Amino acid sequence: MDVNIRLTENILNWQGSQTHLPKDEGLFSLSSLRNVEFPKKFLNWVDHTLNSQENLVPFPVKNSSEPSQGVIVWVKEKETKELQINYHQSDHHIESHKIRNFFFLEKGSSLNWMEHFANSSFQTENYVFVEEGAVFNQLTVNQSRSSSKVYCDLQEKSSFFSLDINLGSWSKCVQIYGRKPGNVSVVRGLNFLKQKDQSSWFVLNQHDGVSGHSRQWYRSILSDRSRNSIHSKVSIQAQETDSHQLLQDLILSPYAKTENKPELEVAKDQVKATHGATTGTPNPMEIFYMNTRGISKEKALEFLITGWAECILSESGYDSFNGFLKKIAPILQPLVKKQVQQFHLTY
Amino acid sequence: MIQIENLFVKAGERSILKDLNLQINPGEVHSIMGPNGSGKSTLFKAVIGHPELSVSGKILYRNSADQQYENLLNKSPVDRALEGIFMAFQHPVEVPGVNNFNFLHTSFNAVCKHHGSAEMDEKEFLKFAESKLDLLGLDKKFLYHPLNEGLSGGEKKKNELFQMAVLSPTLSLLDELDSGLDIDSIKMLAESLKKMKNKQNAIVLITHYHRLLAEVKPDYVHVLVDGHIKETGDYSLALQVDQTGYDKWM
Ligand SMILES: Nc1ncnc2c1ncn2[C@@H]1O[C@H](COP(=O)(O)OP(=O)(O)OP(=O)(O)O)[C@@H](O)[C@H]1O
Ligand SMILES: [Mg+2]
Repeated sequence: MDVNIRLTENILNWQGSQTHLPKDEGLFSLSSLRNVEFPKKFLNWVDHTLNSQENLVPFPVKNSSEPSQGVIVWVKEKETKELQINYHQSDHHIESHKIRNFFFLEKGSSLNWMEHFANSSFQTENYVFVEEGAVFNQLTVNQSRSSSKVYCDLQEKSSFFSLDINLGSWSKCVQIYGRKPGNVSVVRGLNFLKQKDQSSWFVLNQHDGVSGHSRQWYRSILSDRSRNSIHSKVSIQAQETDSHQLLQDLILSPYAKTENKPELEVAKDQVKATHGATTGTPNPMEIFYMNTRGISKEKALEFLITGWAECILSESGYDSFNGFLKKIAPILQPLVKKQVQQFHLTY
Repeated sequence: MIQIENLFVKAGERSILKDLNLQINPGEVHSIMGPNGSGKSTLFKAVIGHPELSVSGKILYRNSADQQYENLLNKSPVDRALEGIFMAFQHPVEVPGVNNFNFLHTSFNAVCKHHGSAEMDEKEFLKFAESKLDLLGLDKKFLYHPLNEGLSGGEKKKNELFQMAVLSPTLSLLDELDSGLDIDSIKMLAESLKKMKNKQNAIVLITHYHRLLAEVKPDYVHVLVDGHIKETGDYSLALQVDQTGYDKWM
C-alpha cells in the first residue's frame, strides 16, 4: 500500500540513505550539531540526556554505532513551525536505518511534527526539549516495521501532544518528563493489527513538576494472529498532578493476543490519578440493532470498528492534523474490510 | 399484511408467549397494552428476529398485496428489515463512534437497493434527511450525533422516530415510543404518526398511557397478559384499561 501524504511545503524525505533538507531557517542536519551555534542550554541538555540513565534503550540495537543521520529543528521564541517527514526507502536495504532527531522549542513557540513510516524498516529517536509555554505536537503514522522512540522534557506550562497510528508492526517507546509546574501531556495511540503484526508500546510519564496534567489513551484492534502489548506507566512525584490513563482493546480473533499493563506509581499526596484497561469483542446487540435497519452483519461490523477507531482520531484535538487524518481514512477502510472478513459472528 | 399464528416464544428455558394469534392488515393502527413483563416487547422482538429468542409457530408477512405471504421465521433480521419491518426499541442500543448520518444513509440505500429503486448520494440524502427532521420538528444535531450515544431517554425515542420517518417502513412496531417523552413531544409524535400513516402501511403501538392513543385513535386494542392476548376491542378498551387496570384479566 503506497500513500503519498503531502501536507505542508516543508517535507523531509529519506530516500534510500539520502536526506533532503528543504530550505528552512532553523532546520539542520544532525551532523551540524557541533558545528552550528545552538544555544548552550540546548547543547548541555543534549549531552546530559544522551548520557542520562533515564534515557532508556527499549529495543535491541542491531549494530551499536550511533545514528549519524537525522535533523535538528530549532523553533525560536514564539515561532510556529510545521514539518512533515516521510521515512521512505526506494531500495531494499536489509539493515534498518538509524535516525536521531533533536527538537529545541524555545519559550512560547510551537511545532507540529508529522512523521510517516511508509515502508521498510527504520529506527528513530526523537529528543524534544520544550521550554516554558511551548507546545510540541506530534503525529506518527507507521505502515511498516519500525522502532521509534520519543524522549521529551517539559518545562513550565509547556505541552506535549501526540497521536500515534500504527498500521503495521512496531515497537514504540515514549518517555515524557514533566519537569516543571503546570506541564501538560496528552498521548493517544491507535493500533490496527492484522495477520502477524506485532506492536509493543512502552510509555512512561513522569510528573516531577507540581500541577501537571497527563492523559494516555490507547485503542487497539486485533485480528488474525496479531500481538499487542502496551506497558504504560505514570509516575507521580509531585503534588496536584492530574493524570488519567486508559488502554482499550477490541479483539476480532481468538488467535490474537494482547497484554496490557497500566501502571501507576504515586509518591505524593493530593493527586488525582486513574488508570484502567479493557478488552472486549464487538457487541452483538449493537450489530443486531444495525441489522434491524437493513444493514448487513459485515457492514455493521465495519461501522463498529471504524467508529471505535475514529473516537480516538476525532478527539485528537489538533486542527492542523485534521487534513492529514482525512488522508489516513481511506487507508483505514480497506484494513477494516480485511479485518471484517476474518471475523465470524456467532449469533 | 402480517398473520401471527400459534406463536410460542421462549427465552432460554423460559416461556414468554404462549399460543399467540394476531392479524394486522394494511392501513390499520393497533395498540398492545398489558402489565409489565407480560411479553409485549418479546412479541415485537420475535417479529424482527431477535437472536436471543427461540420461536415456533408462524409469522406470515407480505410487504404488499401483490406479493405472496412468506414465513418470517425463515428470514434473517436484515431481510425482515429490508422487507419493510421496523421496530422502534423500548431501550435503543447505543453504538459509540458510529455517526447517525452515515448509518442512516447506509440503511436507506440498502432498502432502496433491495427494492430496486435508485439510491441517493450523500448530498441528496442530506437534503432528504433534513426534510424529515423539519417534518418532525427535530433538531439538526440528531444527524451527526453518534448513534444514540449519550442521548437522553426521550432523545433516543426521537431518534427512533426519525429513523422510522427516513425508512418509511411497511410495518412499524413502536415499543413505548411515548415513554420518556415530554407532553409537547407526545403531541409531536402523535402528529407525526398521523402524517406517516397511509393505506399501505400499518402501525402497532405498545404503550402504557392513554395520552398517545387518544390522539392516534387505534383501530384495534389488544390486552396482552401472561403471554396471551386476553381481549381485543376498539379504542374504548384502552379507556377501560386506563380506568380499571388489568385486574380483570389476571
Ligand atoms: N432474553 C431474555 N431472557 C430471559 N427472560 C427474558 C428475556 N427477555 C424477556 N424476558 C422475560 O420475559 C418477560 C416478558 O418480557 P417483555 O420485555 O416482553 O415484557 P413487556 O411486556 O415488554 O414489559 P414492560 O411493560 O415492562 O416493557 C419478562 O418477565 C422478562 O423478564
Ligand atoms: Mg417492554
